[in-house]
Amino acid sequence: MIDGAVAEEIKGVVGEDNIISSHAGLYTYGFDASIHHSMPDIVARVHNVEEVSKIVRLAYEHSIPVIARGSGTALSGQSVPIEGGIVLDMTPMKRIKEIRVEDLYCTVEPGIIYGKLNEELAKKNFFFPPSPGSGDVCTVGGMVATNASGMRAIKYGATRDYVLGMEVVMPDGSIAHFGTRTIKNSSGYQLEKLMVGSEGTLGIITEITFRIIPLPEHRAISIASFDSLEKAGQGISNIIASGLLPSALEIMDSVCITAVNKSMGIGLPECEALILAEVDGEEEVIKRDIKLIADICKESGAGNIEFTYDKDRMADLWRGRKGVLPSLSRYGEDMVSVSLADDMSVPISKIPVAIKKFQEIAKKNGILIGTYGHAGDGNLHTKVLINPTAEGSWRHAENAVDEIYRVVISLGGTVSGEHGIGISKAPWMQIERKDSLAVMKEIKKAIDPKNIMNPGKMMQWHGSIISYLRYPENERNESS
Amino acid sequence: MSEMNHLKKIQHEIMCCTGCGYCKKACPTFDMGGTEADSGRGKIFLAYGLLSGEIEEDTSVIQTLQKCTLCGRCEQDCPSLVKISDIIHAARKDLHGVLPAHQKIMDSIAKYGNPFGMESESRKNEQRGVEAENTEIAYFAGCMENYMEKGLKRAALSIFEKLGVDVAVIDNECCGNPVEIIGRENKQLSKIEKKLDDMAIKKIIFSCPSCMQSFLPLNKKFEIMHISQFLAGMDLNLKDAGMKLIYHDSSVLGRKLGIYEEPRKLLEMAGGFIEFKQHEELAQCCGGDLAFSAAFPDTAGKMAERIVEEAREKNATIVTASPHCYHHLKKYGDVIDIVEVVDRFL
Ligand SMILES: Cc1cc2nc3c(=O)[nH]c(=O)nc-3n(C[C@H](O)[C@H](O)[C@H](O)COP(=O)(O)OP(=O)(O)OC[C@H]3O[C@@H](n4cnc5c(N)ncnc54)[C@H](O)[C@@H]3O)c2cc1C
Ligand code: SF4
Ligand code: SF4
Repeated sequence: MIDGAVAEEIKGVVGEDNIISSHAGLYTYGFDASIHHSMPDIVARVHNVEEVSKIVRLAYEHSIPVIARGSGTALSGQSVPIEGGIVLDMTPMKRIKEIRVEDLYCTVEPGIIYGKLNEELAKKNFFFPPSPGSGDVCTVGGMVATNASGMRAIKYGATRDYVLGMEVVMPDGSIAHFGTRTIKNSSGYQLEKLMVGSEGTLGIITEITFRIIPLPEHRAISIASFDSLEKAGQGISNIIASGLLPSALEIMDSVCITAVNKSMGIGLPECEALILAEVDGEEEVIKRDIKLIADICKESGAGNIEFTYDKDRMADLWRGRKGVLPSLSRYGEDMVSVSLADDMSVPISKIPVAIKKFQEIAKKNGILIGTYGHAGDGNLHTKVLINPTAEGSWRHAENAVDEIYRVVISLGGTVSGEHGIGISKAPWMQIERKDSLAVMKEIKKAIDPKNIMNPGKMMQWHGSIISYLRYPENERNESS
Repeated sequence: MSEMNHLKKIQHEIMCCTGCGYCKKACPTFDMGGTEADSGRGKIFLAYGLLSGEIEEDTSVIQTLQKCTLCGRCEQDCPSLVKISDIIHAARKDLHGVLPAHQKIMDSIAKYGNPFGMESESRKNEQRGVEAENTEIAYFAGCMENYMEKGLKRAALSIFEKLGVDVAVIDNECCGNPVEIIGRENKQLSKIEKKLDDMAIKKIIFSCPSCMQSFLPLNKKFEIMHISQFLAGMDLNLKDAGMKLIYHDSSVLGRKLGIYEEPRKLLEMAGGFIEFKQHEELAQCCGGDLAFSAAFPDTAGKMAERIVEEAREKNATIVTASPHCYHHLKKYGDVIDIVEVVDRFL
């Protein structure tokens, strides 16, 4: 609980209308898109850097946790305030300060929604490419803090690759500027990159300068159906090895295909696995490349292959792809999808073996796993489907998650390719990064000596991840 | 603490919500308020809390769960197909408390048979239709048409007269829709049903989609239809309206009752019409629901202004097919209801 006088001071900074302190309001700010939940003591909706700085200074003086929050779409509990404290709702800070296509950058506040920023950039034929599946609802601040990326990472990289500079409110309330507005910069430590993926544990980002690039003129998509996941995985490896650089290269297994067709009516071909490949660029080039990709898929054992240049069909296919994660919730009658083990990355050639192992693990633990992902960059998504109210289901899920991550690490992969660590992946990040953990802890201690910035997450997490569950009481007891 | 029986019944539906937040994309109350609690997701989270017993009812919980028009727009964006408005409605049913504005509506319906606190005599209209025993068709005039927007009732009855359709007018009881929306037991419908049972009525026509929605439980017994459906099924010939019309889909008529085509068919007859950027399933709610606008007038006002603004930019008059939308939008801009269009240009 925070002191009443401190709460009054916070109210004085942002005004009563921007404070959330009611029971219902605080409860709803205790969630993100993960399995976790914990309530903050107070929420302040902030509008500018001065407000952020004043509140953080107060928090520093009184040693109160501060958790930055964008849209709360993080999947691993990053935005859940497990030690209570102050949640800073960054969404009112949504101004685009500058778009300078002649200098290839834009400067924005962190609360702007990714899709909205791209709508504005598109008017000038430019874009900011990372394209997370949640792009229509997540903020760019959240993207920076988790180093988000998406289907186009194979060609365009992740958020990290577009961050040129930023303004940050440090844990003591001071305001610092990291990086530059120039495309190149070798001027000292790249602190702006340190903030990428920091998940709110090092400071509050209040302004970001992103590199932007011209929108490609044309796109085309091909979908190839396979009668086994292994063949589809091999198809992916063959496309990569051919030297082609698609703008997206996705894989989906039959569980995901059925789920999307069932809940969204997109009409994906029903098969064991499919590859969805997108190419972009000049018209002649995309025509040539999409044909080459189709040929490689055929040689890799694809059955049916469809390709399209039609904008509406392409938009539909992407909508289907982006809807995989939530539509898996409708797969079974009493099973729902829970955010666990959702975005590991392995070396591209290891995809077929990884997928096979995941299926074995699922079977052994009596759970269902849907696999899909940005296979072109080795990033796989698995979705654990359980009945959250059935006895033992969380324990089985945790066992499966543990086995999955151990496979991933043994294949030379990483436990998170894009969604970040938070709580739900912390134990395995600690295994994967065991020899850099000490450095991470030192950095955290040096920058945030009072440990007020989103405490308890990543390298600070201890114990089972089946904690702070958002699901009703009966299951929670079972896991403890 | 309440047993949360209604929420328990749809527990699986609640669990299906992955918390992805896609339902924030076009939710009008979230657009206006911007906090988690203003969104569909926030309200589902509250349902989690009530179910798990982690939170207990207080004014803020009631306020949050009532601050939703149940328009269903969010459901169009939910990839998990969660019946968001059903969950919110179920949660309301499990609440004990009521907002003061809602208590007033409920008291008024109980005392006067209408939500406006008006003496029932004041609803009287010069046109009364025919005696009930001489027809199988009834026109149900809701409270909005009886008390606040009498012109709409007049227009509806004038249409029936011009077309030579004998209708019995049922206009002496509130359908109870606001009570249902608030989450309390609607005792009105059984009262009306008893009266209808004494008549020879087979078909009931509504100009108010909310009244029609209240009658859904009786749809095995009676054929129930919106007046736009009835009229679109007739061989009408409308004169050119000579004005630019833009059709506003009522959330109840559209997303809840699935009626999109018939009002459009009528408007096409009147010389064509234009669409809002977001229409049919994606149409924006105007905030005109009685219970919602009574409790949250500012938000409801902003929602209406958005719609009026787009119509103004397009230089068009808004056509509604719901007296609630009509009554609400008219405070902000030019509006005509579909019954007025048909009556005027028949
Ligand atoms: C359906 C779905 C699909 C998804 N698809 C993808 C995908 O394809 N790729 C991907 O990478 N991710 C994906 N995600 C995960 C998530 O959407 C991203 O991580 C997103 O970038 C989070 O943004 P947000 O605004 O919701 O941040 P939040 O969830 O609010 O916050 C995330 C983290 O960032 C911190 N943070 C937020 N704003 C600031 C700030 N201004 N300063 C400092 N720290 C801050 C928070 O403290 C927290 O630790 C998906 C999520 C869902 C639900
Ligand atoms: S029903 Fe309408 S107002 Fe209610 S949460 Fe959904 S979109 Fe928002
Ligand atoms: S869109 Fe559906 S699944 Fe996603 S948060 Fe909203 S209700 Fe839940």
